[in-house]
Amino acid sequence: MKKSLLFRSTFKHLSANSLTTLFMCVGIMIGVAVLVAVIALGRGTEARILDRIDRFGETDSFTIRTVPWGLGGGGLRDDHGELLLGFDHIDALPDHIPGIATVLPTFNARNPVSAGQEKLEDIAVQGVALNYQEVRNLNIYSGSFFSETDIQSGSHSAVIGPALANHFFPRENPLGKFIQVEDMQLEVIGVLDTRGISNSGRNADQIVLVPHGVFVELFQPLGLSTVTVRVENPANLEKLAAETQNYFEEIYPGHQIFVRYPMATARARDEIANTLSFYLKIIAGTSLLIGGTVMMNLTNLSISGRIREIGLRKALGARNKDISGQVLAETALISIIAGVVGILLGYLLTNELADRLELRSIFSWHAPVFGLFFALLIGLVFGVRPAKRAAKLDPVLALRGSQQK
Amino acid sequence: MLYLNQVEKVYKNGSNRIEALQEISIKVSPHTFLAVQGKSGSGKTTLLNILGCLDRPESGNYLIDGDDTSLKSDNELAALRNNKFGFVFQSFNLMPRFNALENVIIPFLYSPNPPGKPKEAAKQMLEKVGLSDRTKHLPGELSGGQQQRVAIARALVNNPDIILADEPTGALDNQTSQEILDILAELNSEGKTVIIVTHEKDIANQCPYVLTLSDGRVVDLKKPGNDTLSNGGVTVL
Repeated sequence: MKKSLLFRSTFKHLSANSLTTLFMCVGIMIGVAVLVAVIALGRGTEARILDRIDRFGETDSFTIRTVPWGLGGGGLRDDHGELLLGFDHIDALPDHIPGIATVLPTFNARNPVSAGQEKLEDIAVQGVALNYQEVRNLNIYSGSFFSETDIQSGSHSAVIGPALANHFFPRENPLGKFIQVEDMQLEVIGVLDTRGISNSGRNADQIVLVPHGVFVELFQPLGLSTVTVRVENPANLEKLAAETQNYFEEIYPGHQIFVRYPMATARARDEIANTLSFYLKIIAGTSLLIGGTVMMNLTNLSISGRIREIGLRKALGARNKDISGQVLAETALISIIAGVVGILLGYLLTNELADRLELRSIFSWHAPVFGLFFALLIGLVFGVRPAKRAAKLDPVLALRGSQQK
Repeated sequence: MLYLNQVEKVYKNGSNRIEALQEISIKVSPHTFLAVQGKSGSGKTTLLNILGCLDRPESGNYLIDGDDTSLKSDNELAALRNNKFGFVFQSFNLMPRFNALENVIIPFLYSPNPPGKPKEAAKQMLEKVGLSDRTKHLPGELSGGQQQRVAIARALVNNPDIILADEPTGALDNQTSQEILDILAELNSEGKTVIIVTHEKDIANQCPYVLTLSDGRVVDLKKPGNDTLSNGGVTVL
């Protein structure tokens, strides 16, 4: 009975003073709306930025080599005196080190490539295993990539870089034409998107991809000097790279294993994620703080206008905590109403902004839950001072409409 | 029994000391109908505030049924105001946004054991003051006399022993004043102690006991002819 009376009394007061109530709500509403928009747009933007970084920088994979980068490209036979990693050890890697998702053997050779009368020396030829494209995030410009059947059956086909396509087949469609590696004719089935200059300074567009079966047929490798490893969680990249390095160094004592991972991009990824969420928190926090301050002032003002009422309630038996409880009930009710409206406004705002600025937004349970939680928290925290002031009023003076002796 | 023993109350306003009550020692027995009169500033309202536990004396003691109020906490005094006393004010002090019935219910908010059906209890009180057809009216839609009757119903709703009325007729015309006084007299005849503060002689003269204050001191006490302590009464000590 008492609770419903208190609630009705609170509600009545708020609706009777609708303009003040509205202004009290506005602060919290804006705060929560911004919070919701900031969370949704922030998470969307963050996801997109991270997505781009991941696509661009391959933050989830590292590369192991038996020779330092820049000293010749991936030997296949030990005729250069290079260490070759055995296929059995490579295949066993995911079983030895938890957290490694897949191991991608890199079948890498540099070899002359020709088409008709044209011949180019020292072109990168790479053997392609299943899910190669996924790891490298390669895009096809025209034609298609190898099908699973192509890779498994080792069909004599090739996907070539745009630089080769332009060189060998200027002003004609390279698809269906043939190139020659060693004495094998390969049909061009696809052309890659341009990638420009690679990290190691080579023209990444001068490349021939062949199914790994074809590669083995061409070069008969005894092992591999380069392996790309993909991890399950990019955050563990450095740790797993070190473990993999140890693993191979233990198998091949006396040999040095070289590892390269996109440290810069991995760090940038974390940094961007942290910076973004930091600023988002600052913005949302500031707007809620403003909302709370506005509400505290208006609650103080409203109490000054209700001194006689508070005096009367005290004369009728209200204890100090009844009075402060009523003020807090009012600020809490305002906060909840404002919070709910703020969440709705936030959704509208987010959709509008996402449309206009072509941003991505991700809605999740975080926004409404945090929105309501913070609205209520602000209402209670900023209601405490006015509530205490109201509770301390002297009943005799308050009945006269005066606050001080 | 209300017992004030050497009660003093001083208001300080900067360097000014206003001695609102000085050496007040009176006893008020149950079922008494007492008027407190005096000029403006004589200390009547201060006396009533102390009697109603809205204010505490500066010195001296105030005992209610033998209990020393100076030993009670603010919360205990609030509980006394809620169920021992009913207050009626000159300006009615109704909540303007609440209808008559809701205004009468308010004391239940602060009662430790409100009735199971507060609306019914409140309706009965409004019936008692003759307003059963005005329960849904807002104070602004009622005449002054009707508003004061709502205030009396509110004062009665927790069934207090004592009704304290500060200038209950001060804002009303003569005829309405008489109606309000009649209601208070009837409550007294039903067994309630009624203490009113008034500056109107003809109102005071209708009360069996009249205490006259001047400059914070008791200067006169009028008693009815048949005054006996067993039958309620006021004693100046």
